[in-house]
Amino acid sequence: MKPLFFTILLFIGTVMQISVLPHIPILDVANILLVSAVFFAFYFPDYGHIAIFAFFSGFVADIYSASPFGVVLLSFALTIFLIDFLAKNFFGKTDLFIIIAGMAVGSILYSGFYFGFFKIYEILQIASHPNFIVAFSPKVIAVSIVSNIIIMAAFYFPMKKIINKYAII
Amino acid sequence: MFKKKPILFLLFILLSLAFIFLNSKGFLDYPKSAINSLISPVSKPIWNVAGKVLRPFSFMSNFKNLYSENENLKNQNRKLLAENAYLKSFIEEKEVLEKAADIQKQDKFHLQVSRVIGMDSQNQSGLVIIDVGSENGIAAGMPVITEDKLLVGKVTETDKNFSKVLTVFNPSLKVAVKTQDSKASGISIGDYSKNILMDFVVKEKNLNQDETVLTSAKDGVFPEGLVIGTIRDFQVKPENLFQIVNINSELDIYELDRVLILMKF
Repeated sequence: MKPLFFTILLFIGTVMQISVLPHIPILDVANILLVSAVFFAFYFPDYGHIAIFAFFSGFVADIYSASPFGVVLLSFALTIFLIDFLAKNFFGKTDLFIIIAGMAVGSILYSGFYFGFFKIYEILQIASHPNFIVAFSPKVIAVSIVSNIIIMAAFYFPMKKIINKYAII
Repeated sequence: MFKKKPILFLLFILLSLAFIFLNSKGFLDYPKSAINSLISPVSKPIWNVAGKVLRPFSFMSNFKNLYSENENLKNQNRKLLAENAYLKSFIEEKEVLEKAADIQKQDKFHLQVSRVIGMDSQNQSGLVIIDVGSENGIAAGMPVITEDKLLVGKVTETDKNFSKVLTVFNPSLKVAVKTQDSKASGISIGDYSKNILMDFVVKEKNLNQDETVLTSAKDGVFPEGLVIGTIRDFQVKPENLFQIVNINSELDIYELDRVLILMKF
């Protein structure tokens, strides 16, 4: 049940990310796969399963990403590790407000890692990827944090119901 | 094993690095194509329908006074748009193919028609994804246009069955352009919005508002005569070496459905 659930979620999340969200103002900079991974980091006790989901989410998002391959993958891996650590050691409870706070932290971490790795690639001139500029501005990052929080808030109750109903955990 | 989190984390980092290495050697082409084969058939119609249905809602916040009056009409319109999308796609494909044939005949371009799957998953770069790749003969650097000869951008990366197109709105895509009437040359640079800056335009050139800006072919990347947009405004400041020209682009990447790739020109 768990692998099927994660696979379906990954598929739907990817389609939503590349085909639907770009059309919606404000939500066009959201990262629905990151939102899912952060949600599971709070809800699932087993880091292994969370890491597998984060890894494949990062891989699929990297396939359709403008950045050099690996930037999104590594950013997902690092972000989810830290969020899982914070969720299990500092946050404790898993109510909506805690998860929203976790989402804000996760978004900031992810943005930091994403642009950090991107700059590393640029400096090292890795592969033959063309040099291009990504919109790195505090405004874009702030809007992406807000839009991730909006999606998390919308995602929270339906996902909780599905997880409880199908005993996914 | 799963209790040893740091070890598991290091394992995933090593796996990620291994994937990066494999990708650089081309060993991930088949898995990527396989994933795209699953996602693309679903993404294409969803991108098309979402573009028609969702984009109009972005203007509703500006017309709050008319909301109650137009609500029923828009709901009805939305349903009809969704119902007609399937049938319309056949008509649109025929029109695009006819225009592509005209362009091919007139300009002697060798074209490939493609559909847009979606946008960059991080959505911060003005990059679109199309459903043709190296197995269709697509290569990085090929220009991409609409059926109205509006420049979309150029192919930056190809996989077996999909490619990534960097659009004119991304600042890293600089295009050699010229104005149609005043023949002023310059370089167009995007800024992620519908406004494109035309730089390096000498002060001596007398520009006209609404003048069409076309590619000049001086960069050797894009053929001559592709439309970038029209001049919105321009400023001549004594302290600047060049004029500041703002171009308004007619291209709406969110409504792009079919594009043409210039394989040979």
